[in-house]
Amino acid sequence: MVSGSRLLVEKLRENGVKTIFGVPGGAVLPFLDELYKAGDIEFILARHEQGAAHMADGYARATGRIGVVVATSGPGATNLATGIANAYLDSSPVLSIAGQVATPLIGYDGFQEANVFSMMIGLTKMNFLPRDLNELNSALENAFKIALSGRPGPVHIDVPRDVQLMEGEPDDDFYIYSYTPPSPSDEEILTVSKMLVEAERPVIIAGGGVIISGASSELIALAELLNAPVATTLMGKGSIPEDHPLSLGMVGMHGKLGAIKAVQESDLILAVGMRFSDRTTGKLSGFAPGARKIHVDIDRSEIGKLLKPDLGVAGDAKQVLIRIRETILRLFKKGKAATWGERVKQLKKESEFLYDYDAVPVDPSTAVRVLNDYVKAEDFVTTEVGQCQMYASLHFTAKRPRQFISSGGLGTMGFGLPAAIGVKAAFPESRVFDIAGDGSFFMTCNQLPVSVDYNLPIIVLVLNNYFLGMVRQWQELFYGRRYMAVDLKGRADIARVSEGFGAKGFKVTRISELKNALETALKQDETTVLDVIVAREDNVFPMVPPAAPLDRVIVRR
Amino acid sequence: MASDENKRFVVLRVLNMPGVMERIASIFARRAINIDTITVGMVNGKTSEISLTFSLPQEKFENIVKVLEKNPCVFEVKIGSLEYDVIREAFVAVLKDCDTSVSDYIRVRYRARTTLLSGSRLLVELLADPRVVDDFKEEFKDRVESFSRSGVMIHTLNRFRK
Repeated sequence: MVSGSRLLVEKLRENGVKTIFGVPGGAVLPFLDELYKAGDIEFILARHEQGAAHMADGYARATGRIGVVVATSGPGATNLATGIANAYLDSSPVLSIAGQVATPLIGYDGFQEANVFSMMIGLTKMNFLPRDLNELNSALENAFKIALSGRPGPVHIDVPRDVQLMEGEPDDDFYIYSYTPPSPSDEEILTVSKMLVEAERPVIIAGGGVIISGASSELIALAELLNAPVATTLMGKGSIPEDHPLSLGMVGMHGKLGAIKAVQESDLILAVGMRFSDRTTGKLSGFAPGARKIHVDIDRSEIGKLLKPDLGVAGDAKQVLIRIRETILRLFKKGKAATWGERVKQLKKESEFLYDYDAVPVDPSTAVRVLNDYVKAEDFVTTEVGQCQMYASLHFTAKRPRQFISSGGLGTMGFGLPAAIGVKAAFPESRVFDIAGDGSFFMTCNQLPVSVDYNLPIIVLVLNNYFLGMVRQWQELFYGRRYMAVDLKGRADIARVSEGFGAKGFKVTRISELKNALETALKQDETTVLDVIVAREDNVFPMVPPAAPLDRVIVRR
Repeated sequence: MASDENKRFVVLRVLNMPGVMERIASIFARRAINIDTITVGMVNGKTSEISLTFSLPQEKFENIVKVLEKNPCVFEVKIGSLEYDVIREAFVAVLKDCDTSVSDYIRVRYRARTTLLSGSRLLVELLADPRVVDDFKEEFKDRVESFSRSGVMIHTLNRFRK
């Protein structure tokens, strides 16, 4: 005999879950009681369910394992929505479990009842509302498989209170989700290989799929064989170490100039594990106009969704990259891109930035550049969303996959801080930095006590310009500097707010102070917020105007 | 109906579970695609079959088929065509001002089942290609008092995709 709650705990254990994030409530009390009795799964109590979901998401992105979040019914579950949608857009394997009112009350407006099932349909890879032990058993069995297989994604289960309390022996006669990754034919691989070796100016664009697939070494090996530079999407940042000679950095709306130019000049694009987001391609018709395009993705529905490639290859990034390289080595030895290298070197030079270490207020790009020196290969950097995210993307040098963790698809302000806590829970020995702006900071700073309470120290670098900076930048550049609803005034003292939450807070007004504050923070190993006062109206450049082709990149004001 | 080259006929084998219809429908809803007809039948306790018709240009159709295929609730996606597959719709109507000659005509011309009701009304039960149903409606538009259509059922003969 087993209860629904017991079954939940057992399945979490079976799947190696040791930490879960969440906020409890009436509809999950039986499950919580079972967690209490079990004693071997840590529950990290968040201060809001959105943050809890981001923590689970951060945990999942840093480890590649499933991140688990728990909430109660009604408002608990609706608060999860942003966090789950965020995980979905970035293909992150999150299992979210919410309580629900007892089955006889579902649909009768019981206390804290909301139609969470319908809400979650559009935000998850799959969701379940089990009505008895058998269905709960089936849902749990399948949830892990679905979340982690192929293109990963979040799975949500609403567990009614009476199902948590039900006792019995669940049967094993249920549908089991099966998944076989697509695998391209030898002919397809041969065609790709031929196209690659014949290209004179090939560029590889690596997306998040390369990281999920664990294909970084294969990516680098192929790039080196072909002498092909690698640009990345935001999600692909770190798939190749950004200090590698063939790394161009990010391409797209705020991509590096060298990456943008290399893509636009290329005669062949090999796009791996990316989805041609408008933030990456600019106006699609003007994207790499002289290049043939090969699109490799594990998700067939991504191929041809936006860009119609000359060749679409459905398959796992790692397997496909291995097979392409083997084929080239066997049949062709190497590619024709020998002279491309000189041009790429030149383009990379064009990407270089000038930093200003003396500016007061602080130059935000320089602040990130300084932080860069303190981030070791085993450390992590999360980001919020907006200007701070793009400064981070441009000026932080990612050394390995999964080191840089950012909200790409949904662009969720407030992601970075709770995500950093999730990362720290997974890697307590690593240091975790969140690069934030003041706008994003105030969206989830209520989670700072979680970092303090659970001894999960993180360092938050707030690039504080007293503005919703990216919106202001658009208003400046495209709306005649008519600033509307973007001025945050700066009356709230971020350092003191952080101190109030039990963290350390420092106000930083020049780069020399930033270095001292960082060193102090790292020495003290306590949750620390550095409130860096940066130039109010600094803009992130390069920038491709929205809906414009990449060629229209603005380098500076 | 038949003249529209963007008209699509799709059959899904899906999990028989609460919420699956909504999950499928939401794939269409978020893309602002109108589902013209939808019919569902149970295959067995665990599996159901959904027949869907909608209009969509070829490019977008190819994408939505892949999106349907990857959905964990969907076991199989089959694409039907009016030319090669059995596509039928049930149609029931009550016509006014009818006599035995109209009844006989409809029985022969449309292979329908007919029953004369009081007041010169005629009950017509038809199972036919949806184009034929449209033809019938057009031919008897002045006499149709009321009618119901079932939505389209698609039985593909040999065009499996997944």
